Amino acid sequence: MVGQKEIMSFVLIPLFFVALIIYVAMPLLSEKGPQAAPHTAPSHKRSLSRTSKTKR
Amino acid sequence: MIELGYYSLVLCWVMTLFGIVALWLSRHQTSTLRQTGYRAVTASFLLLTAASLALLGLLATHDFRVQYVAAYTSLDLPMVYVLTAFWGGQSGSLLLWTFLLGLFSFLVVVRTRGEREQLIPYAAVVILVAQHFFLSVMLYAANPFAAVDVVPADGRGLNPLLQNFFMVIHPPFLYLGYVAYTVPFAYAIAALIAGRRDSEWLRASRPWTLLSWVFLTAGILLGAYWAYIELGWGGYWAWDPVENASLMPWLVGTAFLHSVIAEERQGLFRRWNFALIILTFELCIFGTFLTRSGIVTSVHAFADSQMKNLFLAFMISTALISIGLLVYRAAITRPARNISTVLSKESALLAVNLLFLALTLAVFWGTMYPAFSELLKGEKVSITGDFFNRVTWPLALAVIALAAVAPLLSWRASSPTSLRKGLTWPLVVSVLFGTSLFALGAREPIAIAFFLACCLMAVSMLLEFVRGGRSRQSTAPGQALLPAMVSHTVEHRRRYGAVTTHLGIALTFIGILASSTYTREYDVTLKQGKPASFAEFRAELVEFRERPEIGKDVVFARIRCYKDGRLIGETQPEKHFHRKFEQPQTEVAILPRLKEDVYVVLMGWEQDGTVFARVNINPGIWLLWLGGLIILAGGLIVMLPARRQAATADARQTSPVSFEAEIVTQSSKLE
Repeated sequence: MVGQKEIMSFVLIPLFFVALIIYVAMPLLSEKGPQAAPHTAPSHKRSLSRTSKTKR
Repeated sequence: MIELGYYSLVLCWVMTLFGIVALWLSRHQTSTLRQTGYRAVTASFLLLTAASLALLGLLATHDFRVQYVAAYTSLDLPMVYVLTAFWGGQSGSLLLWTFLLGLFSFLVVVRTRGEREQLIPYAAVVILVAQHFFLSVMLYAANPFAAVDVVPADGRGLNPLLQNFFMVIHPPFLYLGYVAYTVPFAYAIAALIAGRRDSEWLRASRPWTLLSWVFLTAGILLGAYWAYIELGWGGYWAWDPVENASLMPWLVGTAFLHSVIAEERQGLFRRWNFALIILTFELCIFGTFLTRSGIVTSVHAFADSQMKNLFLAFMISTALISIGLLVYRAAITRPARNISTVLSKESALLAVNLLFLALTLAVFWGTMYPAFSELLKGEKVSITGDFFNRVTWPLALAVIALAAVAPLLSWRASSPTSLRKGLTWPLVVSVLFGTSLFALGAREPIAIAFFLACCLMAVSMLLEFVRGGRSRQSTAPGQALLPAMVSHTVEHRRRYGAVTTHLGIALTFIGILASSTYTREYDVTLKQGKPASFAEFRAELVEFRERPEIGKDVVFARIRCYKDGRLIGETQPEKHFHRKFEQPQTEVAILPRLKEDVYVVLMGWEQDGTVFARVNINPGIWLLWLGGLIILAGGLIVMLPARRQAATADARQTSPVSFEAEIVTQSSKLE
């Protein structure tokens, strides 16, 4: 029979560690590729492009 | 739980390394990598929490499979001491240190994220490097989860001297102080790496500097009180290397607390402040190195030579990197201006700083001289408390005298007339106080000079409150002086918190001076029906016997004390013989009185019931403890957040540098 100790050692502790690793890696895992770059471009770049449009 | 604890430490080691790399690589731009770095900080805090809880669980369940649990606890140990054995030994105290580092790095990242993005990644890297070092030490040399070869039926138990409430809370306070100094150090290094010309790092580190100072002060005071009531030699400070190890960072940290004011208000001492916080951090590490390396002999040390090289390497490398950065950034750490006149607040602050450093150097030299002598000449010498007293007292006297005068001085230049005016009343009261001391029989010149300086400082500080109240009255006519003083103090917490602390320092020194200069010691032989007289006191033995207790036998004497023929109380000094420890433990009995403490120690006895006791009469010692409480209260008042409007107004009026920096920050936000 599987005891409380075994559940702790082989299930809960590894689960806790895996959850933490996923938590840390999440921003990198969910990062979008280069095609999404304009979406995350710094605000001053956006404002510059708007200025150039107005000038045109 | 052993697995949870150990693997949490291992994963935390990996996580901190990852956090250091991620935050360093993302230092120039906010990116997902930086977010990952911040998350690694949070994860390492959670892992350290898990490891700490695991150790607590192992202690609470008496799991003697773990070396640490078997070495520091036993089945008959009360649960409070079982749990606090967490920091009773080498590896447990290292885990506490690392946990606190984890907590502080987490708070730094969580509390200030988004506000100081140019500093935080670097600061977090510095704290993580320290955390990584401590984790490496634990995993390599002092694993708190290491298993025993043969599981014992019972543990060795905790050293009886450590089974005391004040010893339970003294180490965490001291560690909180030591570890919290890592944060201001991290901000300073961050500012140097980032090449910041402003004083933003000082503002960011200010609450941490205060927190460290308050905790370190509380830790030192608690340690002194524990030594007084537990060690039984009649005093509270023996200039033991480990005591000195906590005093050195306190001295330099106090100098730093003062010199940052000059930078905040006048743009002075920039380079000096960087140097001071680096030195404070190094002394904190030096303190733990001294305790753990076994290079000095101390009752408090954990002798482990394996630790010596690790700590020495960390200390030298962090010192070299910090000094290197300071030299590399010499151009941006240049102060906005230099001191123009001698009679000014900044000159007094500089003088106080130099005195604090001289005190630190004296304590360092006295502490390390035996080790240096053994290393260079091969002969072991010991430095007694007499050396420390002779060197530190004149320096401390100068600090107190300056502290009495400094609040009366103005920035840039002060007029001798205003100084004379401000000093008149404190001087009059001090001279009256000195005259009455002389009339009461005090003849020691250094003691009288000290009492005069302390009195000058205390009166000068009290008058600060009165001046504040008067200025309040001028803006709110009709208000009584006392409520005006209170409301003025509440409104200007930072200033009056500091004044309160100085008042506490004056009282503390009066207590130290009175108890050390005028203490009297008597060896008394007592037998039932045969009272003994000494000076104006008389002692009478009421009962003397032995009683068995769990894990020990207790021998005690019940003694009635009389002064000038009147009963002042009954004391019960004891001697404990623990079954697991060879050394008997002395339980001191103290009769606390307003004028003096009657401190009784049971020294020995004979078969016929004759009891030998040592009685110390310690005058005015309560002033030391009261002064300590006032110091801490002042520190806490300074830490209270100021009202936003008042704080901004204060900053605009008095802090040209910080105001300039505020404008720069705000304009950069607008951009």
